[in-house]
Order: sequence, then structure tokens, then C-alpha cells
Amino acid sequence: MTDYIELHCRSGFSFLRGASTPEQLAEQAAQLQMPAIALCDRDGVYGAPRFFGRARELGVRPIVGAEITMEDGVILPVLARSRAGYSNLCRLLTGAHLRNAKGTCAARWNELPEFADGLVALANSETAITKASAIFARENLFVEIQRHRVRGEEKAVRRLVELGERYRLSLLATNGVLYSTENQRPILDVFTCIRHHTHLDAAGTLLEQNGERYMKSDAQMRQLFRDLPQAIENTHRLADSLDFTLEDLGYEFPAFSVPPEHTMDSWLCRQAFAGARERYGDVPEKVRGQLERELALIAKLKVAGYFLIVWDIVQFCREQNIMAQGRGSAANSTVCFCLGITAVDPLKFHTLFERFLTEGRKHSWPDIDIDLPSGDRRERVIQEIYRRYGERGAAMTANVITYRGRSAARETGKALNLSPDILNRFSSLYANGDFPHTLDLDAQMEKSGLHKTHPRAAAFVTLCRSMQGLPRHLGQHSGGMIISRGNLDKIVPLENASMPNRVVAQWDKDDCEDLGIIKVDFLGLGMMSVLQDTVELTRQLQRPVNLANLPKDDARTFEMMQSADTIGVFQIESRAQMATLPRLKPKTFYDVCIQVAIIRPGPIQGHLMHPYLARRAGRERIEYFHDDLKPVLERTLGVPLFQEQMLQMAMIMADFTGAEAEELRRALSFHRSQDRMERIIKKLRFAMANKGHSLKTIDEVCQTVSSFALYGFPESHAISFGHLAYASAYLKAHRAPEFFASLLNNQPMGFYSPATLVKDGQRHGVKFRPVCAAQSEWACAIEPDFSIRLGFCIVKTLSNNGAKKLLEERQNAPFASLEDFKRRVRLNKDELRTLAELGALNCFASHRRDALWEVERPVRTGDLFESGDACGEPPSPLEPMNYAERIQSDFAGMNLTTGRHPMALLRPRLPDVWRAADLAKATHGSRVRIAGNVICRQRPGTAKGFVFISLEDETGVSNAIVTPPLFEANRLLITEESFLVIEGRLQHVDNVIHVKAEKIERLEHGEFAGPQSYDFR
Amino acid sequence: MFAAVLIPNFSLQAVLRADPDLRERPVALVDPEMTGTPIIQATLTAAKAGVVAGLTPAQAMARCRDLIIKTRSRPREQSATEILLQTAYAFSPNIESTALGVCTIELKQLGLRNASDMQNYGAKIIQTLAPFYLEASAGIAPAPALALLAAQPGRSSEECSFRAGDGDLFAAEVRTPSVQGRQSVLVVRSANQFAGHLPVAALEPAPEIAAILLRWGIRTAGQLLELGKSAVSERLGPGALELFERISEDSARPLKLVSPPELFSEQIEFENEVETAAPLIFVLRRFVEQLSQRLKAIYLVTGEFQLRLGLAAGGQYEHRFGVPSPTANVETLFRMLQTHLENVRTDSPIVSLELTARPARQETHQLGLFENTLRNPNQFAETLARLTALAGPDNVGTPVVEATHRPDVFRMRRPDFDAVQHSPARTQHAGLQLRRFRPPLPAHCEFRENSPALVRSERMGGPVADARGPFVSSGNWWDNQRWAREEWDIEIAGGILIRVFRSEEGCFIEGVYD
Repeated sequence: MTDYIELHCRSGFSFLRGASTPEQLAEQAAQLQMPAIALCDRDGVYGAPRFFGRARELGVRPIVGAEITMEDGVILPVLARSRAGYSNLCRLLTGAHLRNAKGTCAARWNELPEFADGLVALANSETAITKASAIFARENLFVEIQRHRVRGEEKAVRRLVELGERYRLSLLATNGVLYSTENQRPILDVFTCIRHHTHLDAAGTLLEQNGERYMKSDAQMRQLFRDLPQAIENTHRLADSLDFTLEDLGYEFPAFSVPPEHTMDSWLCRQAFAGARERYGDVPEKVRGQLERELALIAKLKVAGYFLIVWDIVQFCREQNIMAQGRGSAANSTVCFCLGITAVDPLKFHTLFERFLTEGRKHSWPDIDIDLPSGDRRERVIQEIYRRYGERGAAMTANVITYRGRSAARETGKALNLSPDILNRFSSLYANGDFPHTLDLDAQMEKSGLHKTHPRAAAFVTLCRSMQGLPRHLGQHSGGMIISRGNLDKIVPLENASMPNRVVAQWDKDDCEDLGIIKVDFLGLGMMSVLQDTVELTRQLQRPVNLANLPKDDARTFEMMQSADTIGVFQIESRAQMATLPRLKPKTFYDVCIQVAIIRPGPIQGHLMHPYLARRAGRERIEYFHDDLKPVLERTLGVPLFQEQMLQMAMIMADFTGAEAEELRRALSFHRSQDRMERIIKKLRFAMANKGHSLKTIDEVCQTVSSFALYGFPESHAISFGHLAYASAYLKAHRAPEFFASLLNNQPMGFYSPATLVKDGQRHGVKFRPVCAAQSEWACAIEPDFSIRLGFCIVKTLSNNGAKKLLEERQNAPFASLEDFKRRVRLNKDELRTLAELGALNCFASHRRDALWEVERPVRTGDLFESGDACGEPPSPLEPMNYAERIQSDFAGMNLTTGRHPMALLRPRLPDVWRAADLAKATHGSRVRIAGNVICRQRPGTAKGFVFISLEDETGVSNAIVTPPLFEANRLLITEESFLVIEGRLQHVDNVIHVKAEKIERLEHGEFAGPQSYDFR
Repeated sequence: MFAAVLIPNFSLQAVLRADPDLRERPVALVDPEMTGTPIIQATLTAAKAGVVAGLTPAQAMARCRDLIIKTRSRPREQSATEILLQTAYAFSPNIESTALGVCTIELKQLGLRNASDMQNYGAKIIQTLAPFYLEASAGIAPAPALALLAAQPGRSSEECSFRAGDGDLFAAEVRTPSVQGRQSVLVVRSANQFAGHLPVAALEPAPEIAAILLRWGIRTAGQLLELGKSAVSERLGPGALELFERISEDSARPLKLVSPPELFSEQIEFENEVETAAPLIFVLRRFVEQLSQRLKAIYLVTGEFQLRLGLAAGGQYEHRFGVPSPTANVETLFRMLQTHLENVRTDSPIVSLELTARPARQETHQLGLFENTLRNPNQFAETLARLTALAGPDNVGTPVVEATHRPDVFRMRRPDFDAVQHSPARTQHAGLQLRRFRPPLPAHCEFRENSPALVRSERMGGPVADARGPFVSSGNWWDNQRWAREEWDIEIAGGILIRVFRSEEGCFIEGVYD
């Protein structure tokens, strides 16, 4: 162990002011045999949990601190001596953040005394020393000195030493570490450029003068401060006196207020049994027993308050007529089911309660996720939480946005002053988002015009790679909220989000989970909105549907699923799902749950999907890894598909306890650590071997479990989603007009564009009527003949206010003419033109161009025409639009058409091209040509570089498979063109039709637009 | 009557002049100043492959895999504009620079009596432009705007059926080698028949009006005329009236006459940095040929060249060459430039080249025995340029310290003797002043515990009595200019204080403290 301890490090969580991850800093400290190390990120403790976790693993004591930006620009590093000090630091930072806009922090000197207790400050300037010495006691204030071998710094050091003597303060040497090792200095320089919006050639003296800000060893620091050895000794002394670590966070979940005669446990018990009686009538003994077991464990773990709070939120949703459904592991809990938090009866589906809650787990709280309708309704729930727990009592969890391929390349390229052309071309070659793509970096550089011989090519490559994973900025999680007893700002600093009225914590959900902070996810699901709106429409049309009592064996619904007629249906509408549905042929609700779960990277990468389908089709014998696993795997034909089954396998085959199973679950779902997975697999292997299992069985089980890493999908989750999938399919089958109207009203959502949804609706017999100024509402509505009248929400350029005014005026009195309409509604010219172009003003004109001619005429006011119309005006000299022009106008104004598909008009030019609906008649293996508007391009990570393209024509959707070489040869054609002709061999297997592409061409489509494509997701 | 000479795809043609072989290949031009850097123009070959304006480069490359993307160049456009105006000026003194790539000529008093004369006149202009790799079309009409419309590419091909005698349109193709498409001359005597075939876009309506006309389904100027001036202007305002004016044969206006620039220049921005003389000389040869030809067309010769080389590190290299005896001889002119260029060394690669010719009249009188070629008195700037050429660009000018951590990096700024001289504010130095050796003195240093113990050099040295340092600095890690050094302040025998540094190249004495 060394004497010198680095007490001032900044990580990448200082956002462009540090170039290493907290983990790298901890690892370097361990490498240098430092017993402790302090992380002081700028204005926050963003990286502290990761730093804490890694340092603890390596046996290095992690000290928490932060650099605080003071109102006068002074940067004051502080370290937490105690829990009180840490709380004070969090509160100080919270105040400094919340009173400023996002991204700005400024603490006031006059508020510092209130928060100084338990903090140690390191002052490194005359101003800081002067001001801080009036606030901090002498033992809590050090004069920080740094030497970076820069000419002129000695004078500053001498001045600081003098000030230390004058104020009788101890000296403390630090290196102000900005990166863990010397080779990371270029990253910092690039970050500096990004921060100053410049490039390396112009940055000049903004860059560091040398690469001395790395973590130095005891010997190096002693050599640097050989004239001031006490400054080195003091680091050790100070570190020894800093007791606080994040282990001692003091987090408590808020208590729930219960009637005086009850405890939280008894109140929960009462509510659970009351709910059980509602659910079951007479509570069956099995249910009673399970409830009692769960309630006992909840009481033992002292988490009754958590259940009651979530129950209370769900009650609020009910009162507000907001559909809410719990999912996640909560669906394993009978208590949650009885409280109405979840819709799934876990006993019916034999789900695993241990997946939800187990005794003995230290840092893992029950996980209840609530699905809510996306949009305003979800925001109302979130704002209610803030209202109940206060601005500083609740916060959204953060979402750390890190540098990935495209962003790292773009920022690096800009900093290296590469030409925008090169960077644009480089970016456009990243067509596949997060998926590992087949184009290697060298080829990508070559194609984008950055040749290997370019003097900056080497730096570009190195930097792109080393910037991966470093934090870029902090966003907010889509729905994760944390709340705390007392104030949350004592646990973690809070700051403003970009969204108004949102406060966000500095830690993400994994950090919170690691530190034992309970979160509740309020996730917005577009489909929840659709379901709620559909139900409301069915009620209005007096053919109501009750989602809670849908028949679970509806033949029409299953028939539709089996024929992959699932556009618009939750979770099973994607191309991959559609390719599986005719093979899996769902016949029961549980089949739908399996269908939801099976198209996941876990089952696909674990090679589980095909065995399951083969066994289901009777082509393969049902086998089990071990006879003992039959009860667990029987329902999935011996193939483990769910995370719960993995845990049960571990419990049966390796005698894992509930806590160990939980450890396995966390490893399966933990997104950061490969090590963690390897450790638990090792443990599993060892335990199975101890139990005497054969090597073959051990290998099979471990291989299966490993393949679930990162992608594990819980059965409870599948069941919750299965509910929504089934409900949406049922509504599509039986209440198509209401369902399609709701889908259109909740865009954007799902896999397909509104244009595709409209075409699918038409194929289901739904009639769509165009937008009409005299009849449309804001939302798409159902007319008495069950046709859908498109609403103004579909019109691209019509403002909310414009539509509102139109509806108000129409409510007051019907419009007498176009002149009357123009005069009363006062839309701007663009809005009027769009409405006319879409035919929405045809109620006042003989055709679209007639309306276009009229809308251009100035409104006549205050003259003889005030009350009248354009009487006496000659008719418009313009020719009516032809069919093709009307389709073009529809796409231009609302990205969809109620008329014919553009492909129907292109069809006469394509005599040798098969229509999607006719492909079933073609023979397997024959050569065919298909054509259409590209509505989906996908390159799943599990598909080894294969690309799937869906083309829509006037009869439906046809699918093509593109091999990696063909894709690379036609990359830009595939990614950029909106209409394609694809030629290849037809594959028609198990009612699934694909064309294996051999040749791809652009389809000349003139001015036609088509539905937008859903790409590479 | 007026003649409009139009160079279609002007920006692209301007760029391709530097590399005329590319004109037959699929090339598209992007404008980096426009949002999204879209394609703005494309060669015929590219257009045939589906490359149209408005596509992103990625979309265009999807349609045409071999597509070559070029970037719009204002300097090249400037050169091409000069050629257009200078050529037109050779045909008439009354010319107007109407728009980018468009020149209008007044034909009054030129003695063109009939459509045939006019067609021949237009064809001659087009043929004169051809050696400069500029392909043009010409339109001749009673009004300038109408003439411009008649010059639009493609018009003539459509109107070829309207041969002489068939109404008031007279079309003729000009038989010159063309890669852009048909080069033609169209003479319009009456607007009405012409308008029926003229796309409304040719009237160049404002974008908003163009969008409305498109929505109305109006595709030709004839259709627009049929709507009626008053009904259209009531709806679309004064902007629509202008369209009616443009198609009217009665809307003759006086031209805004210009004189072509007196300097003749050619310039290029290289796509890749140039580090050797060979590619420069190749381009320079072409420039000399072009400039000589341009001057010849107006019966002048080159009196002086000015060469400007833009450098990658900023700044430029500049040199003037007085031509002792003004000449149009390409070989003579080129040799002069080549000899100079082969001895030029620049600090950084070259990114642009500009060659400007100052015209002079061909000397026809007898020179005196002792008269030399420098007939004009030396101007101050010329003297300075010569000094720079003699002493090297690094040794003439005012040193300006660069914003970098690298010690002693400065550039020489050429003195601007015309501007009022201000003494720069003196920087207050608290420490000792360093008297630098330039270049630094190579030294032999012996180190003990990473600190110099002995320094030896040709001029000074000895055991080290005391040392401060090392002070470490490094930079430019991102390319081949990377550097790193450690430096010490050292006291040697006699109390002399020196600065020593160590870099990859070895140890050096950088200077002596006063």
C-alpha cells in the first residue's frame, strides 16, 4: 500500500471535463496499490455508484466528493467526511442545480455554511482560501497544490504555500487527475474541443499543455513534492478520516399513512384479502396460502409501504380513468394481483414468486413497473407523484447517454477537423443503429473518403474506439421514478430535466438498484392509450367491450394471428413476429405469451426458437435436459424460453437458494458486466457438478443460461404483454373501426406508419373518409356507418390552435361557404392551402383545385361582400386534379391516402412483377420479382448480417431477405431508396413467404411518396 | 433584339473546367453551404442514372454507384463568369452580367438583319466559349427576359419542329462537341407561340408562387397566361405580375451594362492537399493555355502573372512575375512559371492555386537599345514580392505568435504598409528575458536522475550548477506534426543561465537568459 492517495479525480461523468470512466480510475488506483481514492466530478456525484461498485470489488476505498462551481466561478472541490456531509453535499448541489436551467450549476458562498458540516474542502486559489476559511474549520479545509510540470506553476504553488501558512491550513497534494493513464489525454483534448465548439487545429492553448494529468504513483508524487513532503503525508491522513462511503447511504422508502389502528403490514393484508375477494369471490385455499406466504415475507422484508404506495398510485389511476397495468416481476405476485396492480393471476400461470421477492437479497427490492397510456395521461400520474412527495422527494432516474459508434465518430471527426462531407458520408454508412454492423471501420473509412494514409486517420480510429461508452450527457429515463422518506436530495443530487416540471436524479436506474433505492417505472405504452381509446369509442357506439372479460378463446382472433394478420397489434406485428406466427399458430392465450417472448435475441441466440417450433409442429421429439426439469419446462415443450425457467432450473439442478437465483437474475438482466455473468455461471457449474450431474447436462444448462444474458425475458412480462397483444388483436378482429381510429389518434407508435395502417384497415373492410372541414373533429372519429372520418390531427401543417378555432366556429354555426369559412376561422395561407389540397374544403368547392383557387383570393371584409359570398365570381379556370395528383397531395399533406395505393398506379408499368397477395400462388423456389414502397428495413443483431426488407403494394406486404454480400453491394440503394424492385427465389415454407433477393433495383416512382419506413430497429 | 447566352449547370461546368475529362462521366455537384449538402447539379451521364437536384449525396450514390461528387467552388465560378463576360465583350460592347452563368447582349446596331444572321451570331459566341470547356445555349428575342427564356436548355429541341416559316420561332443546333446536351440558338420573334411550350419553372417564379402554381396544375407559361393577369395577380400579388412581364415581348428594359474585368484569372481549390510540384505544374500549364487563349480572343497578351498558392496551414504563398516582353506564347510563359515553382518550398501542403494575368498590348514598336522589359515603374508591392521570393517567405514580414503551447512558434505576416501602423501592446514579462538561438544550438547533455548534469555545445557549456525543470509540453498528437519536449532552466559556469530542451531530435540549447 502506498502513502499517497489521490483525492481529486474527475471522470467522464464530469461531462467533457474528464476522459476516463469511474471504473477505469478505480482500476488504476488498484494497479498503483492505493488504499483509497476520491472521485470529485464537476457539480455532481453522477459516477459515484459505478466508482463505488468497482473500487469495492478491487479492495480500494472509494471516497465521494465533487467539484462545486461557486457563483463567482471558483471551483471548490469537497469531500464527504460523513453521511451528514454527503447529505449536505447532495442538498447543496440540488439547490445549485434546481435554481438554474439544466446544465448550469452555481452554489452561493453564503449558503455554504449551512451545508459545510461533514465536508472537507480543498481550496486551490486565493479567493477560495479566503472565502472557505471563513466557513470551514481548519481541520476541514486544505490548501490543494498541484504540479504538472508547467512553466510558471511554481509561482502559484509558492503563493498557495504562503497562504496556507498565513491561514494555518494544511497542504494537500493532488494531481487533479483528468484521466487514469497517460494515453487517454487525446480524449480529453477532443472533449475540450467539443466543449468549446472548436477543433484541434484551432483550439491552441485551450488544450492541456502536456499529458501530466494522469493518475500518478506514490513515487512520482513524492518526487514532485519532495520539497513539501507533508502535502503527500496529508493525503493519507485525510483519507483515513473520511468515513463515508455509499454503502452508508441511509436510504429509506417513504412510509404509507394508514389508519391508526393498523400497521402498514396489517393494512396491506386487509387490502390484499379484500382484493382477493373481489377477484375470486370465495378465496380459494391455494390463493389464501400464497397470499399469506407473500405477506409474511413482505412484512419480514419491511416493504409493505412500497406495495401500499404503488397500490395507492394505481387507485389514483383508476379514479382518474387512466388505464394502468403492472408488469415486470410484479406479475409473479398474488398480492399484486389481488391489489389490482397487475392483471395476471400468477397461480394460474405457475409463475415464480422468487423472481419477484426473495429473502436474503441485500440490494434488490421488488420491481413493480406500471404501464400507462403514453402522453398526457402518463404525465398526469408523474406530476401526481411530484405533488405527493414534493419537488425534492421524488425524481425521475437519469439516463446516461454515452458515446456510441456514430456519435463518437462524428464528434471525433469534427474535433480532428475532418471535412463535413467525409463525416456525413461516414454517418450515412451507419445504417443500422445499435446493431453490430458488418462494415468494418477500415472499409467504412475508405467508403467515406477517409483513406488510411490520411495523416489523421490513425488518430480517428483510436479515438473512435476509446470514446465508446464514455458519458456524453445526462438525460432522463423514460419512466423510472425514485422516491424517498425524508428528502431524496439527501441521497442523490437532483437537477432540472429539459422537460418542464420534471426533476431528475443524477443516477440511472441500475445505479439506484445497486444502491438499494426502490424505483417504480411508469412506462408509457402507446397501445395502452389505443386500448383505452378503443374501449371508449366502443362505449360511445353502444357496442362496449370490457377488456377485463374478453373471451380468451376467440376463434377469429386466433385465426387472424395464425395468418399473421397482425399489423397494428401489440408486440406481434413486427416482420419477425409475422414470420413466426404461421409456424407457431397460437391457439391459446399462453401461446400468445410464448409468441411475444420467442422473438427475442435470447431465445434466438440460444437456438431455442427453432427447437420449440419443431417440437410444436411434431417434427422433433420433446426432450428435457434432465427429468427433474420436466415440471418446469413441460409448458414450453422442454425448451426454456423464460427467465423464470432459468432460475427454476438453477434451483433444481444446482440447489440455488432464492437469493442465489436472484443473483442469477440480476446477472441475466444486468447490462454492464460480463464478469458478473461469468462468475455466476462458474458458480452454477460448480454447484451442478457437486450435485453429480453429467458434464453434458451441465454444459447444456450453462450454455442455455448464458445465452439469456442481456436478453432474458421474464414469463410474467410475457404474460402482461400477452394480455395487451391478445386484447389488441381481439379489438382488431371485432371492433376494427374503433381500433384503427384509435391507432391513428395515438401516432407515432408501433411498427407501421399511418399510411400502412390505413391500407391494412381498408383490407379489413374499414372505410376511411377524408378530412373534411365540415365534418372532421380533431381526432379521427367513427361515423354512424362505422366508417372512420380522418381527423385534423392527421393534417401536417394544421396547428392545434387553427383546428381549435375551426371547431369552435363550426360549433357556433355551420360554414355557409368557403368565403365564410376563410373569414371566420382565419387560418394562415399554408393551412388553407393544405386543407384545400387534401380535399378538406371540397364541401365548399367542386374539386380540390377549385378550393385552391379560392383560398388564394384575399378575404373581403368591411365591404359589400361582408355578409355575402363570392357571388358572381366566375368558376375556377383550373382543371380538377387527376387521381395520381390527388394521391400525391394526400401524401404531401398527411403522409397517407384514403385512395388507392401508389403502387396501384405504377402497376401497369410492372407487368412481370408479382403482387404481394399473389405470392402465395407462386411455387416454392421459382424466380419472382416483387416491388413496392419500402416500409421496413431491418438488420437484427441476431441475423448474422442478413437484412430484411418489407415492401408494401396495393394488396399487402411482401418480404425479402438480403444476404450480407448483396447488402454491402447495394447498401445505399437499400437504405436510401423508398421504392424498390427485388428479384429472387421465392421461399414458401410453413405458410411463410419470403423472397431471397438476388437483384435489387430502384423503382422509378416519379413524384409519388409512400408510407415511411421503419428502419433497423 | 437581345441575345442571352446561358451556360446551363453553370456551377458544375465551372468546376469541371479544371478536369474536363470528367464531363462525360457521372459527376454531381454539392453545395456545402446548403443545409444537408444536397446535390445541386449533375452531368448528363449522372442524370441518366437518376441523379437529380435535391438528393443527398448518399441517395445519389445509391442511384449511381460510380458517381463522383464535387463541391461547388465560388472561385471557379468567378473565373467562368469572367470568361463569359470577356467573350461576350468581344462580340458587343453592350453586355450585361444578368445572373450566374447568364450574359445578355444588346444586338442593336450590329447589323443583324434576319433570323439567320442572328442564329449565326449566337452560334459564334457558343463556339468561342467551347475551347474554355464551357457549353452554352443562346436565345434571341425582342426583350431580355424573353431572350433568357429562349436560351433555356432543352427549349430548342422541343421547338425543333417549329422550323423557319412555322410561326415566329427559329431554332438551330450549334454543331460543337457537347457533353452537357444540345447546344442551340433559338430566335423568338413572338412570345405567344413560345409560351405554350415553355415550362412555367423557366419563368423562375418565387418558391412560394411556384408551389402554388404546381398545386394549381399550371405547368406551362401558356397555361399561366390563360388564367388571366388580373385573376392571378389578385391571388398571388405583385410576384405574379413579374411572371407575366417576363413572358411579354413588350417588356424590353435597358441593360445594366458592365465591362469585363481587366484582370484575367483562373483558380482552383484542390480536393486533396498537394505536396509535390508535379500536379501543380500540370494545372498551371492548363491555366496558362486558357489565359492566353482568353487574352488572344480580345487581341491582348500577358503582361504580368500573379501566382497565389493557398496553404493548408493558413495563409498563402504569392509571387508576381513581370513578363519582360508581353507575349501570348504559352511555352515562354509556362517556362517562367515552372522555373520558379520548382524552387518554391512551402511550410505546408498547397490547397489552392490562383493565376492572374494582367493584360498588355502586344508590343509592336521598336525597343531602344538599353530599354529592358520592365517598362512600368516598380510598384512597392512588387518590390516586396520580389524580396519575399529572394529571402524566402519565412524571413520577410512581422512575426506573429501562434496560439499554441509549442514554444517559439510564430508565423510571418506580410506587412501591410498601406495600413496605419500601430505598435502592439507590450506583454509584461515578470521573469528574465530569453534571448533565443534560432535555430537552437545542438547540445550534448548528460543526465543524472533525469536532470541535466553537464551541457556541451559549440558555443557554450559546462557542468550544471543548478537546474529547474523539467517543464513538459507536447501537442499535435493527432497528425504527423506531433511534438514533445522537456525543458530545463540551467545555470552553468560563470553564472550563465540557459534554457535547454530535449526532444525526439536530441538536446538543444534554446537560448540564454539576460
